Amino acid sequence: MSSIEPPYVLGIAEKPQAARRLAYALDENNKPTIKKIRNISIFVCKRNNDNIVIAPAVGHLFTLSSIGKTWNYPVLDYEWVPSHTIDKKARTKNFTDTFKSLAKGAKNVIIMTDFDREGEVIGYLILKYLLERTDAERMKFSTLTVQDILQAYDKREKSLDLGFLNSGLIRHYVDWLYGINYSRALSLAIKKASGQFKVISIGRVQGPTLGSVVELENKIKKFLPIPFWTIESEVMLGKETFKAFYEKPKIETQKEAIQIVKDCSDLIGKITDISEKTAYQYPFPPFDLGSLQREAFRYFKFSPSKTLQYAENLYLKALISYPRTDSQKLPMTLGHKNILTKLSSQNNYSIFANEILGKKKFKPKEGQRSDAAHPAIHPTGNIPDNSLSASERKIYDLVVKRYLSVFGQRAEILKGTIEITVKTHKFEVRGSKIIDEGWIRYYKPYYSLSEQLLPNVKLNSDVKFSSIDSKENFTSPPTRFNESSLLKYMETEKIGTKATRAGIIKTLFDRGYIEGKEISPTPLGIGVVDVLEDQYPVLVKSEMTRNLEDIMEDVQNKKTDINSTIFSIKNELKDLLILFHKKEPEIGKMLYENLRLSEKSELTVLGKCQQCKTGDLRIIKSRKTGKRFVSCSAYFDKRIECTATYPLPNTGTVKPTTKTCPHDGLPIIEWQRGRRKYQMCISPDCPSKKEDDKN
Amino acid sequence: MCPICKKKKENSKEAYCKNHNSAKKVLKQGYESWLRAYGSISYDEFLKKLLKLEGIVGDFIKEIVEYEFYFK
Repeated sequence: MSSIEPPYVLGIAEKPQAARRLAYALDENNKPTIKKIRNISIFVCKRNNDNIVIAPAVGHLFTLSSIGKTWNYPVLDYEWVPSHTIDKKARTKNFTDTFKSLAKGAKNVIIMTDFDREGEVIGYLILKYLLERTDAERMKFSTLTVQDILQAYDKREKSLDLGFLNSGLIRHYVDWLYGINYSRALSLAIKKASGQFKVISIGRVQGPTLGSVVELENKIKKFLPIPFWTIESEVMLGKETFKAFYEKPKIETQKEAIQIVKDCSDLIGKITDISEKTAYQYPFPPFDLGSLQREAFRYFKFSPSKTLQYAENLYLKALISYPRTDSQKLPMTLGHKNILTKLSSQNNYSIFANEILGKKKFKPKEGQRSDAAHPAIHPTGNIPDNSLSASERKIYDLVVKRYLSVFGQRAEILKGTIEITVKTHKFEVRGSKIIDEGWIRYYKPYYSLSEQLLPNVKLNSDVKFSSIDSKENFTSPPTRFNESSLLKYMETEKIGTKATRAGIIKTLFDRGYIEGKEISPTPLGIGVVDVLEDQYPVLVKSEMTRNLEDIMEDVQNKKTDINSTIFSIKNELKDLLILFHKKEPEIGKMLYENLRLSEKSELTVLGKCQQCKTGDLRIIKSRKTGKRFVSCSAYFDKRIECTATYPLPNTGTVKPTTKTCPHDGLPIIEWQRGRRKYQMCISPDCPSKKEDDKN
Repeated sequence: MCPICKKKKENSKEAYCKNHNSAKKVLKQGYESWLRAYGSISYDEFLKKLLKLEGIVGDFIKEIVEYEFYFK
C-alpha cells in the first residue's frame, strides 16, 4: 500500500526524469514532496487544491506474449503481460508494483507521457492493466518547459487520443505477429531440413531493409566500369592559373577525346563571353528527426540511434522540443520572441539572437512536412547546465544554430563565368563572390561557402592555356549505404516510421545481418535474403510493409476500425503462412545450405601455421566483440594447443591472397578500406612493415 | 555446381550459378560498350584491363574475369 494520503489525482509520466520535471512545474511552490515506493521516486504536488501524485514508468511496462505454450506457427492469439515476467533483465517490476499500489487512492488519472503513439500506448496499458480503468485525462506538450507543462495541464483533454492509441496498438500487434511467426517459420524450416536448431529472426520492417542492402550489394558486385574521357585544362588569366571546364563534361569515345586535344594543340584561346548573375541560397528547413539524424551523421559521424538518444536527453532536460517529429513547421504560436530572448542570454548565440530580435519582422522559414502532434525540433531557450555530455552539447549547438538560421536572410552570391573559345571548342572558367552570407553566418560551422574570385579580363582578348589534355576515366559503382543514407532510403521508401528506423538499423547490426560503416550485408544476411527472394519475396520487398503502414495510418486517422483491421491482417498473414508452410522443405534446405556456406566463408583459411606447422591459420571474427584476428586451428588440438595469433585491422575488409611473405613465410592478406587496397603480412613484427615505416 | 563459388546452379545447362551467370551477361554487354569507347580492343585486352582496375570492378565480374582469363 502507498503511504500517500488519498484521494489524489494520479499522473503517469513516461520516465523518471520527465516525472521530476512535470512535478516541479506543476507544484504551486515548485517544491513537490518526494516519496519512495519500492525505491521509485514519486512526486506529490499541490495545485488548485488538488493533490497530484506523479509516478514514472520506464518506457513500456508491458509486452505482448503468445497465448499457449507450443513453439509452432501460425500464432495469432496474444495478450499483454508485464515485461518483467517475460524478460528477466527488464527492471520494470518495481515500477509496475508502484502503479498498482497507487491505483486505489486515485480519484482521477492524467496521462502525462510523451504525446505520440508510444506515449499513448504506455499510458493506456498502465491505465488498463494496473489501474483497472478505461479512460483518463491527457496532457499534450512538445517541450518539458514550465510554461508548456502548465499550459498542457490547464488545457488537458478529457480523454485519451484514440487515433494515436489505436495506431500505436496496431503497430505492436502487427510487428509482433509478423516477427514471431516468420522467426518461428524460418527456424522450424531449418530444423526440419537439417535437424539443427538455429534461430533466424526477421521482422516486417527488417526484411525489406536488409533486402535493400543486399540488392545494392548485388549491384556493386555485378558492376562493370565503362570508360569515358574528360578534358582537363588550365588557363592563365592575369597572373593566376584557373581550371577551365570543357563544354562536354564527359566524352564517350577515345577518338573524340584525342581529336579535341589535337584541335586545341596550339593552346591559344579567345575570350568570347563574360557573364555575371546573382544566385540566392535559402536557409534549410527546420529539423525534423530524420534531417537532424542525417546532419549529425554528416558532421559528427553520430549514428542515427545515438543522435536520437542525445536528442531525447536534451528534451528530458527541457533544452529542446520533442525530437520524434516529422514536422518542418515552426508556428508563431511557439513564442519565438521568447525563445530568442532566452537564447540571447547564452554567450554562444547572443549576437545572432539579438540581431534577429532587432529586425522589425521575423518569421522562420518552414519546410513542407508537418506532423499532427509536434512542431519541428527547436530549442526552448533554457540555459544548459554542466550536466551535458560533450556529444549532447554538440547536438544542442546544432539544433540552436539550425533554429537561428531559419530566421536568417537568404545568402547572395555573385556567380561569374568567362567563356573561352579554342577553334570550335568552348571552355568555361567559373568563379563566385559572396555578396551576403545571410543565414549561413548563423549556421556556421555546419555549412559554409567558398569563393573563387575571377580577375578582370577583356572580351575578345587572347589567353594562353598552360595545358589541355584528355584523361581516361571509368564509371564508378553505386555507393554503399551508410547509416545516414540508409535512414534516408527508408524514409523515401516508407519503410518503418521516424521512431523506429534507427532501431531497425541497429537490430540488423546486432543480429549480424549487416556490418561496416559503409554498410554491407554479411554472408548470413546474404544467405537469408537469397533464399527469401527466391522462395518468399514478400518478406524482403518493401510493398508489403508499405501497404501495412498505409492501413495503420488509416486506423490513426480513424478511417478504419482497429478490430476489423487486425482481423483482416491476421487472415492475410495466415494465408501467407500457409504458402510458407507449403514451401517449408525447400526453404529450409536452401536456408541451411546458405547458412553453412556463410559460416564457411566467415571462417577464412589463410594458410599453414608457421609455429606448429600443423594447424591452419584462420580469420576468426568474435561474435561477442565483432573484432577479428588470425588464430591457429590447432589451438583446439589438445596435443598441440598452438597459441599462434595475429591481430587484424578492424576496419575495412580483409581477404586472403595466395601469396606468402618472403621474410617470415606467413600469409599475405589484402586489406581494403574504401577504395584503397593494401597487401601486407599478417605479422605485426614482420621486417617488411619496418621497411615501410622507414620509407 | 558453379565452378567459381560452388553454389548450386539453377539450371544444369548454364555455365555458372545465378549471380555469376548474370555477371557474365553484364561482362558481354560491357565488352560492347568498351569496343564503342576504344574503337577497337580485343576480348583478352579487355579482360586484362579489367583485372588492373582495382576497387571498382564488382566482385562477381572480377571472379568471372579471373576464371575465364586463367582457367579457360
